[in-house]
Amino acid sequence: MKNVQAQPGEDALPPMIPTVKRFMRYMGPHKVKLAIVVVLMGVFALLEAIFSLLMGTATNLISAGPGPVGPLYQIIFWLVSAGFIIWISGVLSQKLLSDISQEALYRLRIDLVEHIQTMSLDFFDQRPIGELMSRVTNDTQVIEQFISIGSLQTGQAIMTIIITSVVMFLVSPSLTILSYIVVLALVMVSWLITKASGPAFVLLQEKTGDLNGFAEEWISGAKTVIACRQQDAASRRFSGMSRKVADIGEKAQFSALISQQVSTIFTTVVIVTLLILGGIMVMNGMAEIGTLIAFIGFSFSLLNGFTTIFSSYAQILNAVVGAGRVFDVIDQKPRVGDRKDAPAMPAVAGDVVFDHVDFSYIPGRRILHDNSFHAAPGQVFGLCGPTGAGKSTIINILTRYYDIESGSINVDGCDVRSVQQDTLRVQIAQVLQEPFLFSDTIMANLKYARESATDEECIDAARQAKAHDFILQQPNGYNTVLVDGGTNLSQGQRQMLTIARAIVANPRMLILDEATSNVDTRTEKLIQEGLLALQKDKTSFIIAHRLSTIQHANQILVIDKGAIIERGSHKELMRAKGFYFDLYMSQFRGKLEGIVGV
Amino acid sequence: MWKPNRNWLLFSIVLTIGGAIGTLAIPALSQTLINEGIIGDNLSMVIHYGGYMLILTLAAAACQIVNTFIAVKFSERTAHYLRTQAYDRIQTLSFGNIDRMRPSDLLVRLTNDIQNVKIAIQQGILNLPLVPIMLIITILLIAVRTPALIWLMVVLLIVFSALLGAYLWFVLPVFAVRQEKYDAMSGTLQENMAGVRVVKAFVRQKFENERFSSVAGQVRQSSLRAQSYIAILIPTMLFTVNLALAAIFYTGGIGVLKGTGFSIGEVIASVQYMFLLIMPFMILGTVLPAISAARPSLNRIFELLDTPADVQDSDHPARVDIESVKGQLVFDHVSFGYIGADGKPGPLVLQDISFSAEPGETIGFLGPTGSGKTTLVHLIPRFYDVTSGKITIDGIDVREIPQQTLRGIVGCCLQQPNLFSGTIRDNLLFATENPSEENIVSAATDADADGFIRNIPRQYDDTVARHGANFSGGQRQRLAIARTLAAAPKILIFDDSTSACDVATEARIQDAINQKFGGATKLLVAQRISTVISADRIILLDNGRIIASGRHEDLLRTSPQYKEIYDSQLGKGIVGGEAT
Repeated sequence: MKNVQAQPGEDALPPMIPTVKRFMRYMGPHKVKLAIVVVLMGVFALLEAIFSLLMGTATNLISAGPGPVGPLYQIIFWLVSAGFIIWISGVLSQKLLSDISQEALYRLRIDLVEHIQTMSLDFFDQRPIGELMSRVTNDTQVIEQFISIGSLQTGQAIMTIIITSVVMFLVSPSLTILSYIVVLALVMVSWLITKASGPAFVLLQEKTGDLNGFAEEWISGAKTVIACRQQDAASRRFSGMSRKVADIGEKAQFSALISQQVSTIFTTVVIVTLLILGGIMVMNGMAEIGTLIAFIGFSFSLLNGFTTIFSSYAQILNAVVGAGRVFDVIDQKPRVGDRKDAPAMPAVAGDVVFDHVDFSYIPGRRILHDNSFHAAPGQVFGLCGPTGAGKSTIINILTRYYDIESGSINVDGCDVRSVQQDTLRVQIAQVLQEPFLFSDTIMANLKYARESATDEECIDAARQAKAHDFILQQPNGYNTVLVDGGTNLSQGQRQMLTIARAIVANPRMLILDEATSNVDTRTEKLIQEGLLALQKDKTSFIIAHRLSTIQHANQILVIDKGAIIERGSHKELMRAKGFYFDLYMSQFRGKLEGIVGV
Repeated sequence: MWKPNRNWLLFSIVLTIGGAIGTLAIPALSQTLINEGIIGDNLSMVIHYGGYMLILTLAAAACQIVNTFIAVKFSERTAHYLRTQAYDRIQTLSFGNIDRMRPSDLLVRLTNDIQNVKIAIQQGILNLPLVPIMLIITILLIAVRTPALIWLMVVLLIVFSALLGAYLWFVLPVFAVRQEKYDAMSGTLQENMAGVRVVKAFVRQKFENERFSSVAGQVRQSSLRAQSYIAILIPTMLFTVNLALAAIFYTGGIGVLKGTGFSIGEVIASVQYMFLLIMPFMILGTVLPAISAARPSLNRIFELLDTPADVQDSDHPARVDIESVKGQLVFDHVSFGYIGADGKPGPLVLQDISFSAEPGETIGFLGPTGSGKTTLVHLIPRFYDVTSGKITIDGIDVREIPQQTLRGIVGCCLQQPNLFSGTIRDNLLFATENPSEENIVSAATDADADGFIRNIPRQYDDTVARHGANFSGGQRQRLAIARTLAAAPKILIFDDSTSACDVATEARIQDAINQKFGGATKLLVAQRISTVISADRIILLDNGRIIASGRHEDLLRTSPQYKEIYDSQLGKGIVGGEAT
């Protein structure tokens, strides 16, 4: 509740004109269509006015009493024709406008998503996925709501107001002034009412957000609530929040619905005022009855036009805020960028040198201090140390997800910052703690590692990763679609697939980040075989949870508080009886009988 | 809940009728005003009838405003009532119910479903009664006052019905398709962002862009289809109205010009009748979709309200004083199978489990994933009820102990360390009745959390974000342990609660707990052998059965399965170092 200011949707309004201009660029390629839409809107409004006038003429004709029928036929003919043209122009303008707006939205979404793909990891660390999602879905939808429906209505409303006013003035200036006074007064009043109900809606949204947030958090933690016997407290808090939402909801809904009633009252007020005042004018011979009837129609058009513009105004503001938020993301530069003339990284042998590397995620809060080491091609390096010591960070800067503060990282003698990051990264395979797979076929997931991989190569990789057998047991073998990123597989099976995927990539360098920590022993044994196959001939960096997984490493780096405090092979470190030795021994909890000396 | 409100609903219908009559009388009055006032050159008549019209409008509006008030109050109150009932029901549910209904689904029932019902009630009260009333009165008015236009009315009724039907049966489903495509696009994007590391690691941004542009293209396609329907529908409505206007002037005009009994006032009134004739169809166009959306929602809410909890308190509970409980725990031939959607126990995941734990003893549970370790400990605080056999604490069957009392005796630190937004203090006090500073700090210290809490600016009063997102996995686990310890239960269960902590931290926590809770029965579930290695007894589970049990040293000798786990995790004992 403290972060109310930071709630999305409450962003300050971005500068209106530049944002709109920038968005218009997306409509730009369709200038001709757009011009046709504007013309059609004008036609639409003009004919609506003519339609009212024709009805007035018909009324005049009739009010004179019995007479020849011929002129009436003519008027009816024109009425039907005008109605038909209104229909055509309405259909065409809506159709054209949705073509343009959908195309513009499509391109905006693509631009946004393509840009997000170029962002560095820090961009994703800083904001939850939900927030980014809402940029692409909600924000673009808000824009869509306005441009695909609202804009046409607004455009037609503006056209209607202009054309109707001109026609009205040409027909009867005095009735025009009379109508305008009545309509504008009513518009003012309804605007004031809308303004009054606005804050209630903002408050309602806020309280509903609180309620839903509470429900989301406490229902996803329902088991903890039960275990901690907090069910009654939860009910009480929920009921209190729900009550608030209901109370504010009553106010907000009531004032919104009342404005509907107010507008019906207004419609009658317009009719009555015009009938009385206009009627007096008719009786005094200052106007004709048909003109009066036509003016009642005109006043409706004006009233509708102004109301539409007012209600669109909120939509326009929302759309501008939405567009502002979208452009805000598009304008962000990736923190880790390639130099303009950066060459591609040539195929490497896998010689990695860290030279006095310092690093911090947030300036001033240093995570790694003065790290130096050298891994020769084909060597296996183990990284261990307490949680939060900086093991994963070393991996993150080697793959250049982040740029270091000082020192240098060289691969095959080439500073990683001097080459295109993608060409470096594609040469390092990674198997992470949380196996991530896409909701696609198993084969597509394996091929994800390398576009050019053949089916045979993938199957071969699966064999090496010991995944082939269970894949064949799936309903459609390699063509089985993984539901929800593989919830139809066990954690261990998912991990075996990511190992197979890394084998498909088959580069010179390899990173294993606690790849087996979520897997039980039996599966781990299987996976270990796959992992050993994977490590063959590669410079490998293995972050270990269980120290047994790095016993075979050429060199183990023991990291604590961002610094390498010990290094050497398992044997050397055990002999040194330092930090590593203590860490290793703490696994046994003093249960050494029967082991020592065996 | 409906009974006391029945009078209000009746009153609402009366108001609706009043409002409709007021609205419908306006055209009749304007007809007279024009005919006899303006054309008859009678100023006082114009002013009088104008006055009547205003008064009637105000009266009609007053009826509708009061009705709106009722509708809004009733719908909001009903929503509040359903929402709290549903939430209270959720609070009575057991783990089994929650597993089957899934939290995300429960949340949808609480939010979207309730919202749908609310809108349907509001629209239903406000507008639905208007439909028959307005239709009947308008038809009668036309039939009585302008019988020459009945043919036009019949045609319009048919055309409006056809348009409404087209809207409901053809246009809305197209919008539903669009929504599906939209959800598919969100899904693709969600996955892309969740897997950003994988995308970057394999440098597949281009592929991801293509994937997204294909789903975004489908969204565009389906939106265009939906909008082209709307592009035709709305102008067609307008066209129908315009043609009807022309028809009125045609019929009325000929009537007047040929002197066969039509007046200018009647023509103008007919125009207004026609607009009134449209209204019921417009109302149906908004109300019917709302009601049809609300029906499944209401069913889902009722289904939730009718769900009985899997675990129920005994009708004749045993009287247990928490303070005097010792914590002797016995499993007596316990078997268990999760209850399926059909309400019957599924395949047994625990079979014939028997063991006992004395107060002060520490028991470790080890076994591969899916072997039933977590399920076993969940039976003790009755998160689930045994299928057969029994579990006793100090000789009392746990099913005889009220759940709230039982969970005061048994403290369970779940695998998922869920924290809640609030302060660290709030979270640590979550399960305990002892809010003293001493208790909090000592619990946090035992859980090895005091150190990092002291490093945060506002220490124990600092904020915990939603789901504890501002703490690392290891920190969340330690806070969850502290929360359990603060409640000082007699039986302590830790379900892989230190998996994200390093072994040294884990050892410190265990030592502190052994010292502080020496008299409590402690059960440790673990994946990692070092978590349970120092337990008084280790129970090895496989496929829901106990396959070995004993001290570490004994198991190492007697159980090949235990030896296998040990070797794989700790690498055949101490390798490479000279023994101490």
